[in-house]
Amino acid sequence: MDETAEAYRRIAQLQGVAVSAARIGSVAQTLARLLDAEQAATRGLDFETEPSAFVATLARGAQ
Amino acid sequence: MNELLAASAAELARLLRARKASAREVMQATLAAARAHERLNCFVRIDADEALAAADAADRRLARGAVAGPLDGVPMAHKDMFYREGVPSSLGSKIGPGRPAPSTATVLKRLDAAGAIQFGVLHMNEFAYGPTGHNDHLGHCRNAWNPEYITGGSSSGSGTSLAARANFAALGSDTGGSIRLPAHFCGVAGLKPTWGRVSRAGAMPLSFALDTVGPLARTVEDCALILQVIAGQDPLDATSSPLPVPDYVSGLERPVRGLRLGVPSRYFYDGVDPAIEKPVRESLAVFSALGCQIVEVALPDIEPWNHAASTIIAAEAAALHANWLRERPDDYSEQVRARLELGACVTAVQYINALRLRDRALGTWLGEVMSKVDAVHAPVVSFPTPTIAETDVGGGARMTEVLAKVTRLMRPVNFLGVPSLAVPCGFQPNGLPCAFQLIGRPFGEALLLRLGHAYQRETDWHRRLPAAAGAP
Repeated sequence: MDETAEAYRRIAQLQGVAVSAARIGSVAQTLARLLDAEQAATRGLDFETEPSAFVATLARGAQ
Repeated sequence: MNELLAASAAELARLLRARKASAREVMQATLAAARAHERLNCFVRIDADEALAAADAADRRLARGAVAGPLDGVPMAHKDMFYREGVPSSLGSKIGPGRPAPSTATVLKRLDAAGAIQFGVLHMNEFAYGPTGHNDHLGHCRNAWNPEYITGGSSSGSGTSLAARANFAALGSDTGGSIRLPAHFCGVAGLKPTWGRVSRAGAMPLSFALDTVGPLARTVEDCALILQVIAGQDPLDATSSPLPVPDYVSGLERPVRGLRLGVPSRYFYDGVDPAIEKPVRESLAVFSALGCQIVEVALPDIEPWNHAASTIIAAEAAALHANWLRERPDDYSEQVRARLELGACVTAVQYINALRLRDRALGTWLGEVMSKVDAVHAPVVSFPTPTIAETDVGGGARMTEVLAKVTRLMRPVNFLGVPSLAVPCGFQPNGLPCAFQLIGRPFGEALLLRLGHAYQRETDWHRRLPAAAGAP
């Protein structure tokens, strides 16, 4: 188990969730993929952007 | 097969109102069909006595001319995640059956008031957290067109019970494709409404930011009829929208000439198999003949939206299941447990940034795509329907790859919160059905339904029956 996988195992453990050693490697790989994509996508986000703006845009988009 | 079972929900409602059929005879035929299709494993529970009593009450009302609503006397069974006060819902799980529901779902109350008769509850993926129809607790759900093949999920029983003509319409939920996938795989219509269009109160949550509730039905007209009943603001769901509900049903007959259908130049057709591409592209010729303009539309890079949706579902599902995951981990199937464990490792920053990305993504979609077209026309999946055995991956090494492949054309739509309608458009060489999806503007269900209905007036794919449907 590499350091990243071990870190994720500890994060889960702190929440009382026991992730098996057999699974934690693939958890770490999947999360790394999601994190990379998200960091690339959010790089240009405005500092002020907050999640609730989505609902207003959804309603405006109806027109 | 009893010929009444071949009718759509809308046709049946008209027959019942005209007293050309009785609610009791329809219910008896439906119950017989449901029992005859036991091997499809689509029903979790059938409430025959209560349903027959409700049918008798409907007949008495209809005889007096006191019609309860547009679905009076129509038999319906729903995905087993819509609560009825005091009754446990399985939620497709080992945990659900021990929890009597605290209240009745708003969507069920609205369907009850419209006269629909619920006669049972349907198979689903465990906690709606799976796109294929596999379920280690209930047994796998089987496709009415060929029981060796998947139904799609998570509204698996909704899709296959309709295909088998053992049900007239069903509610499903769609967080990452769970209405549109079974609609595609089973050859029925399915509408994922705009997020906030239909109340989620009393429906099992999976991901509050993405969950939607909508109909699966034999026809697009039935979807319109059901959406008309269930849509609208609900004080019990703070996320339900105050925007007025249009008249979906009367809008169906408006012409579609001149509407612009966008065919995506990227993503939706990347690597698509000819078995899917052929019927989906052929459906465009029907729209063209109806006078629609078919235009290629350039999409922005939407792959990150797919990933962001995955992050949101994972984190929210893990939060909802945190107590059970700590206290009853062995009561989950291997696959759902593995996915929830992954969600427990998503950081707060990662989750919140996925949510923050949503507004910009929707703004981009509206500005770059929906400003040029009235709806986007695309496949639901990009590969031929697989067998149950081929996709029985549990929580093993192939799980992530298989689930990502099945949901790839679904999740970006959930991330945007916009509506999408799946409509059957033919068959694959393996004999399994195929559908396209029409993706619209926020709260633009009426236009999608109008397009889908116009397509179904010109085609008969929705009238085709699997051989199994003839069995009763």
